Formats: sequence, structure tokens, C-alpha cells
Amino acid sequence: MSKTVLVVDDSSTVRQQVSLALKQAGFATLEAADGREAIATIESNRNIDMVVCDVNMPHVNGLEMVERVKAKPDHAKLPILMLTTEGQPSLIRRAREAGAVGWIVKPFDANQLVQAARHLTSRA
Amino acid sequence: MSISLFRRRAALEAAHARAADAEAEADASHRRALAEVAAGRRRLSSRIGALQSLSEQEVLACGRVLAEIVDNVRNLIVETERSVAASLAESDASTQRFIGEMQEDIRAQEAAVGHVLELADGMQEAIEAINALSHYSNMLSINARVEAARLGQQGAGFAVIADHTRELSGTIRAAADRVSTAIGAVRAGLPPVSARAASMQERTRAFIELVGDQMRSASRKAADGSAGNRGLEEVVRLSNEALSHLQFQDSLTQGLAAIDSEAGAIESRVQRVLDGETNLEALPEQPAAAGTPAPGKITLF
Repeated sequence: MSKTVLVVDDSSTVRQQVSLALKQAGFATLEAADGREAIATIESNRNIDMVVCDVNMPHVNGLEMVERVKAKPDHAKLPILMLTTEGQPSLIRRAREAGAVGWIVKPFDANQLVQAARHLTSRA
Repeated sequence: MSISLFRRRAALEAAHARAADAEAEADASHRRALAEVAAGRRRLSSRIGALQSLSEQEVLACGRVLAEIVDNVRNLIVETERSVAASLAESDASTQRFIGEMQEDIRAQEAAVGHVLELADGMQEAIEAINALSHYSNMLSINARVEAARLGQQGAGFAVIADHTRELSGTIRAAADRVSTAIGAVRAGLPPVSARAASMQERTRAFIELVGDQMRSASRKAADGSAGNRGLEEVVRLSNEALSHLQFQDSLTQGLAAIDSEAGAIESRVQRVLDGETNLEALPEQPAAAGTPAPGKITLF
């Protein structure tokens, strides 16, 4: 059974590109346009194996989303990989402390993203 | 009031009127300038929005086309593999059927040869019985001849029987010899036929194994789709490369948004200048972040 990845980004093109790369590698994907929508999707869908998440988004940004999701014991082991144009060490540190498993600075290499997704979902 | 004073007052009033006109004109110019700056800002924002929208639509369309290409290639490979597997299975069934029929013919041939040999053995036994009968007839003829001689004229009938019996015995022996010779020839000719049938059986078995191996190998290749999978992996890899190149749109959108924001700041400052403000603070510089990971780099914690 294929693993399911939730792709969270306010950019429709980034959502499409990440989803397309993952789908072609055999993953199933869900999409959310901001942190609030992502939290609702995670709450309503127990089959999500991994989250790829932007940082700068409206309503609830990516770091807040990680903090809120990881605050719930049910999602403590859900791998969340940050994918963003941001690269400030303070943000990266905050993401790590919140429970994110990794950080990718856009533009991303789709082949490497797929490898990372395989690695992170296989250890779950 | 003296004429001089009257003239000065009139001149002063005229000067006031001109000043008021100039101020009104300046106010109008100020408002026009503000309106033009605001209109320019709106046009700039509108064009930026149109560019963002256009690039987004085009990139999304490219993504959809890319996905369709990969899906079509995947479907084509799956369909081709299915077709090849079906053809192989059909060929395999035909070959197995043909080989089975050949084996059946060879077995029938071997059985026929065996049957003929059994018949030859049976006939040889019959020949020996006939020879024994011939020998007995000959003895009977000799006895009849002896009896005819002993009886003299009265045994003439025995002499005739003895002659016919001897003649019959010779005919039987000659016939038995011819049949025996023919049986010998048949028996001599059958082993090579039998050996050829056995050889053909062996070669057929080897051929069956060879064809079976080739069929199984071809079927395995078709089933695991290794060649197709390699082709598909390459298409997906190239698609991912194309996706990497399509990511300019996100940066473009952010760049255009930054331009829009800068234009807003400039508009605000122009308004403040037009409103007479003179001591504007310097625009803040965006500091370069230190220790920023390179784009595309994946940092796993």
C-alpha cells in the first residue's frame, strides 16, 4: 500500500510540483494551502505518513503548524519536513525544537526530495 | 484716503489674489501628482498581479502536461508488457501443443515398431510349426513309400499318396523358408527405425527444454518489466528535473511581491514628500542571513 504525504504550501505551483514528484515515485498525496487547513487535514485523516510543509503561509504558518501538531501525542511520530525559501538558522533551530525532521531550501531537487520521503516514511 | 494709499491697497489685494490662485493651483497640482502616483502604483500592482497569475497558470499547465506525459509513458509500458506477455503465453501454448503432438506421433511409431516385432516373433513360431509339419509330412511320405514297396502292386495307391505328400512337404518348406527370409528382413530393418524414433524422441525432449527455457525467460522479463521499468525510471527522473526548473515561478512570485511592496513604500514616501515632509528616514536594508543553507540542500535533523 502506498504511503500518503500531505503537501502544505500556499503556492499552488509548489503544491503541484511536490505532489507530482511524489506521485510519480508511488506516493499518494493530499494538499493543504496553509497551516490551518493542514491541521484540519491531519486531524481528519489518520493515514498520513509524512508532511512536507512550507514556512511562510497565511492564517497559520508552517512553524506554528508543526508546534500545534507535535503538541498532540497522536502525531508525535509524524515526520514533518520543512520546504521553504527561508534559511535563517534561528528558524531552522525553532523547527527542529518543534519536532520537524528536516529542512529544505527552495528550489528543491525533486529526485532528492523523493529519496528523503522514502527514507522518512520507511522508518515510521 | 490718499491716492497713494489706495493704489498700494489695490496692489496688495491683487497680490493676495494671485497668491490665492497660485496656492489653489499648487493644491490642484499636488492632488494631481498624488492621484498620478496612486494610479501608477495601482497599474504597477495590477501588472504584477497579472504577471503572477500568468506565470502561475503557465507553470501549472506545464506541470499538468508533464504529469500527463509520465502517465502516458507508464500506461504505454504497462500495455506493451501486457501485450508481450499475452503473445508469449499464446506462443508457449502453441509450441507445447505442437511438441505434445510430435511426442504422441513418436510414441505411436515406437509402439507400431514394437507391435510389428511381436508379430514377427509370432510368425517365426508359426514358421517353426509349419517346418515341423513339413518334416512330419516328409516322414509320412517316406513311410508311405516303404509301405507301397512292401505291398507291391497292391500298394500302388500308397506310392501315389507318398509322392503327393513329399511334394506337399517340399512346397510347405519352400514357402516357410520364403516367409522366414521375409521376417528376417523385417526384423533386420526395424531396429534402425526404432533407433531413429528414440533419437527423435531425445532430440524432441531437448528441444522442448530449450524452448521451455526461452519461453520462461521471456515470460519472466515480460512479467518483471525490467526494461520497461528502467525506461519509466528515466522518464520520471527527467520529469523531476523539469519540475526543478519549473520552480522559478515561486521565486518569481515572491520577487514580484517584493517589487510590489517596494513600490508601496516608494508611493508612501512620495506622498509624504508631496505633503511637505522633509526629514524622511532611510529605507532599511535587508540584511543577508548568515549560515543560510544552499538552495536544494536537504538537512535532516
